[in-house]
Amino acid sequence: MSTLKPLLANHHEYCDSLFAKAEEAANEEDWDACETRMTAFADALEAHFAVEETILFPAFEAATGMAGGPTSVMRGEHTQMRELVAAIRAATSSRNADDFFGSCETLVIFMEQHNRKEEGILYPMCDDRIPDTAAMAEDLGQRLGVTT
Amino acid sequence: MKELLSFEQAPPFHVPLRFLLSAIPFGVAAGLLLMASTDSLGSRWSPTVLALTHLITAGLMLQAMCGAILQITPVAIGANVPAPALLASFVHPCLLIGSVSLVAGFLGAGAPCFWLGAAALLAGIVPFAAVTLYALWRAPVRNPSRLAMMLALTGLLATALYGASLALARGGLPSPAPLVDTAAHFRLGWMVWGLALLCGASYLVVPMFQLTPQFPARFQRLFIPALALSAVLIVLAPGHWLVDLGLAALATVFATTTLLLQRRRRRPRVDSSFRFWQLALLSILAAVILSVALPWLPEAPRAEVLLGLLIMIGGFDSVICGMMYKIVPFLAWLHLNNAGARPLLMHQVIEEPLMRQHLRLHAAALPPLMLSPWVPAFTVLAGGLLVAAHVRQAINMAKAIGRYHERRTEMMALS
Repeated sequence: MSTLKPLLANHHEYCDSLFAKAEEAANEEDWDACETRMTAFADALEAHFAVEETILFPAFEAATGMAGGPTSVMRGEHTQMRELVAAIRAATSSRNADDFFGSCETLVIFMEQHNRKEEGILYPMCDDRIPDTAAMAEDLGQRLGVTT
Repeated sequence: MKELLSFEQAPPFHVPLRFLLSAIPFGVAAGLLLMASTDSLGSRWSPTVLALTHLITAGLMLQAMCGAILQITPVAIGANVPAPALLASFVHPCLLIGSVSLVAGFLGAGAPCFWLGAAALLAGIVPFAAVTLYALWRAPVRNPSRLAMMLALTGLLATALYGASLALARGGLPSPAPLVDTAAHFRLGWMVWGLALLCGASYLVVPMFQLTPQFPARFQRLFIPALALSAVLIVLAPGHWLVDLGLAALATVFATTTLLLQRRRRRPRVDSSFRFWQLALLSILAAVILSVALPWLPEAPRAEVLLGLLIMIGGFDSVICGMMYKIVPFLAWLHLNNAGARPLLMHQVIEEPLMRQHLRLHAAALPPLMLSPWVPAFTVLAGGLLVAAHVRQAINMAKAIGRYHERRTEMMALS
């Protein structure tokens, strides 16, 4: 039964919408609004990474015995995304539109290809292999503030 | 299973890059050929038009396709292409030799050019398609993009088989009669290989680049099966008006759906890559209208040339330029980042104003190009602008690669 995939894919979509709002504010040169919206995006993204890194990935690793496989690559990509978000926030603080949009461009493509891999391969595998995914989905949903 | 989930299947940077960069000289050559031609765009059967068509299709499009498939399929579909560097080192020279020989054959260099062209292109396409189809078949991700890529590769194989038979026949050698059929050859090339590839790439990159919604579920479910059915009908009844009408309808649905999705993008800034995409989709729509009106038009042979120019230069060349301006800067960033070098963000790899210069030259080439079948004086202007556009593109790519190597050298000096 597919329970984790729709929940986490919806949260990807939610993060995308927060990101788009921050970019929109920067495009209108409303840097104060951009800073607020970028904080909301960074918080949502960090919450997403946290549930994956502390709950989902360990459960997947325990269920499959694959500790150095896809979850390790996903963790590495989370680190790269954190660095890009930091670069965007620095550009927001210094009101540097070139660096802001350049970093956003890089983050969007990296984040979307990361999401496709998770939604296409990892989440279906989690739904398939982790025992009692319904309980886990409810827990993750509460932590992320979304319902399953 | 572990292998399928390794996720680290992206090929080395040089593998997609050698194909993507090789596409550009074919664009320059197409412009030079136009500049050298006089009233030779009056019919699609003229040697100039045949050579031009194969510079764009067997040259530019095929190189770009190989580069894109080798990069996109492992990362986005999980299709693990075995030994991509080895495959590229064999396929790439075969395709280069094959397309150049074929074009030389059309320009009157003699029958052996057709033989070499057919043999080298088949020697490159067959292993490439076989290996990538096998990788896609085994891929863990069962998404619509995978199916589209598989149809595109099958369409490429079929196009190449018809093309090789036609080339051998032109070179005076015996060929299997059912395959000596230009009507099936170019329809399979443009509408199955080309459109399925464009569709497969669009499923992945249109939402990714502009944060648009995904393609509608019904479209994703039905479009590629409908295109596959059309491919069968093309083989059974090449050139039948009903099949052509169906193909025109499919191209319209694809271009309209993609344009509508792009209108719903959530990213506020419009860049050159996006404009290249719009230019391509509008050219496809214009080509559809022209293809339907063709039987009623005076001077149909010249209108047929216009149809080809709209599809090849307005459509495929434009979209390839747009894709390259995202793929190359992103890969430069990714490979530098993974190697631990000082970051070089996408906008620092190729600056937007440089891409805009290319876009303007490319867009300026299109109006005189579209008029050139009727007004030969415009052919030189269109060719010149096309050369200038692709030279600008080559300079932009050279800058990107130069910056990439600069950072890598800097990193190695520090380590």
